Amino acid sequence: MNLFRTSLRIRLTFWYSLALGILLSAFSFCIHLLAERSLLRQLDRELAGRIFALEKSIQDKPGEPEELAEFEDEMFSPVFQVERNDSLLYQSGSWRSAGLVAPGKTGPGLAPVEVRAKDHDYRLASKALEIHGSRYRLFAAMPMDQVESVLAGLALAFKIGLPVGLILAFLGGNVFAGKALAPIGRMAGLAEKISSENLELRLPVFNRTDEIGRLALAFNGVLDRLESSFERLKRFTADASHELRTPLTAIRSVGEVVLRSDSDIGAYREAISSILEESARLSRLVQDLLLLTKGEHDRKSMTRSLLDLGDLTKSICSTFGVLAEEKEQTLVCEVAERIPASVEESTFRLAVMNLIDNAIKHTPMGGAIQVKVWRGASGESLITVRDQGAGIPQEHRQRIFDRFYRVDPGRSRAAGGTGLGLAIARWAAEINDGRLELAESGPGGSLFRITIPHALIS
Amino acid sequence: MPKRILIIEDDVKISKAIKRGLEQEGYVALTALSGEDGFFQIHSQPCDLILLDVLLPGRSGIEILAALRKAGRRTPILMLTALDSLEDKVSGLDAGADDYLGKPFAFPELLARIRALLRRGGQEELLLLRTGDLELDLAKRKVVRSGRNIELTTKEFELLEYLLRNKGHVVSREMLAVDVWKEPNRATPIDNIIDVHMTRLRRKVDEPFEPKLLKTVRGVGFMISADSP
Repeated sequence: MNLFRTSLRIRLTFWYSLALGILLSAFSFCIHLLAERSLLRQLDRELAGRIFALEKSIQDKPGEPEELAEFEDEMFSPVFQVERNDSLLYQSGSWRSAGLVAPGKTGPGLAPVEVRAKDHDYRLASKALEIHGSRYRLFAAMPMDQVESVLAGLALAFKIGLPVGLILAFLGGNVFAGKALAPIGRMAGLAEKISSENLELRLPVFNRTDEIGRLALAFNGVLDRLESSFERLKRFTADASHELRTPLTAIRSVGEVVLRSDSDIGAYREAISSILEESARLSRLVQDLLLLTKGEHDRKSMTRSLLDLGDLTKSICSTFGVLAEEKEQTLVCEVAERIPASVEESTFRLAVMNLIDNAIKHTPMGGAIQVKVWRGASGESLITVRDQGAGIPQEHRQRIFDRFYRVDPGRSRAAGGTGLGLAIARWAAEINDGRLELAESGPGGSLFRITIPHALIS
Repeated sequence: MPKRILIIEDDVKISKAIKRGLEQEGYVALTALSGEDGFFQIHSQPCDLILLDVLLPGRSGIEILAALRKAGRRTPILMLTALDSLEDKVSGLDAGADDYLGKPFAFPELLARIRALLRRGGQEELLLLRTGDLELDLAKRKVVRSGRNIELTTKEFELLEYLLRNKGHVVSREMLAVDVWKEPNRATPIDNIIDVHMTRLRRKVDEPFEPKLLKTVRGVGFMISADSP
């Protein structure tokens, strides 16, 4: 039974054979029944013919035993008996030797019955009628031997044929099930070989439309996603190590240099300050990275409240106003109406703050930044931030929300960024069930858009 | 009489650094490197405040905390930990911690929290803050230096007030972000904003006058003090 549980092939074959067995048995049973009925009907027709002939003969030469003996001779010893007025008129020789006994009751046209005499079955037809004023009862019988032997032969054929057929079907089914399932075995074998080292391997797809092909396609899809997330993870790890290494190198070399010779207290002070600055940068980086790892679990434990996105955005704009002022930029915040939405305030602020910070950084001196909060056509809440930066080239647009991704690798570190601003903004929008995307970008600047779906506004 | 502070922290380097820093501030600092040792010291000598690491070998900080509170000790406890998630904070505060500081922390922030915990319940809110010839009147919302009125924006006023409340002590950017800008999330891109306000405040409060009161401690934060460094 263990094999039964572990082998799909055996299970398939078993159920298939069981179904076939039931079907074949039912089929044989029906055939047997039909054959029996048809043979009996034929027998009955012959009996009816005999009764008819007997009746004719009595009518022609009204009922003398000699006449009936002549009839017996003509018909090749039929089994029959004739009664007249309730007493026996004639019994054929074969009736007598068969030892048949006529039944007591007979109607004008009674259905033939089966009777048994001396270990033999007979089919017996009877008829009661009046001829020339006398009451006659006619009986005719035929042995069932032939019918029975035909049926027995048929049954024997079924008894032997059925098991043989089933065994053949089981063996054949097993072979076919094995063939049909072989690709699954091959897939399992291949899948076992796939590890993080060779994620580029794919399962072969022979037929894209059958079940196995679809399974292989689905599996390959999983591998695609796995490979790309693995790729992202690798890239992220490499980027993160690079980002961490830079301040670490600075800390190390500043410390080593100042210790190389006896320096005055000012030099030590300078070195330590520089080390502290770098370590502050490091802790910021680590904190930001930790924040980005928060996901589903933390989403559930967040306490949301109903906030007016307009008020929230305006307060952020006024906070960041000084940065724009420093660059002689105009920062305009347009709010058309009250836009209430259910968000977790501190994380959602992060999304808006990072976008505005990003816009101020990328807009040149004297430029303008436009922030808008409004209600979309299908009830969603929208916050857009338009800058006058250089725009983001097509090839970078997919990746600007990736951690540490920089369009211009040289500039952002100098500007004090960690390269995580947009990644944090997107994370913050998404953890509040919103979306952040780059809606437009060209030489005149970019437009970032946060969308909070309607369902959350209640 | 100097306040006694017990540091229960298993990392020797951190423990030593905190001890030295606290001693420089005039506190008496005691150290325990394990939960058991800490628990023993708490019972053998009185202290005014406990700095408690959450992840300790042997007994966890939360266990010690719970045991202390159960025994009826009301000593203020400041939890230190690298676990930064909300649940850890909640479980620490639930167990009876008075405050919570995530690692890595800025030392000025630790000092500020310690000062806050030690004076808890004491000291009324001052309405007139003063350093040197600079005076900030909270009731009239006025700032005067050397008899001259100084016009400040709301944020600049709040910033100056915060610096004055911590006069003589360094305040970090994190402290300013949380306490003045009310941004509890540390991942906010607010450092540049703080710097801009600091520059403007300095221009109004310090530039026309001598001596300079606002000091930048590079890599650490800002401080207001009438003493020359």
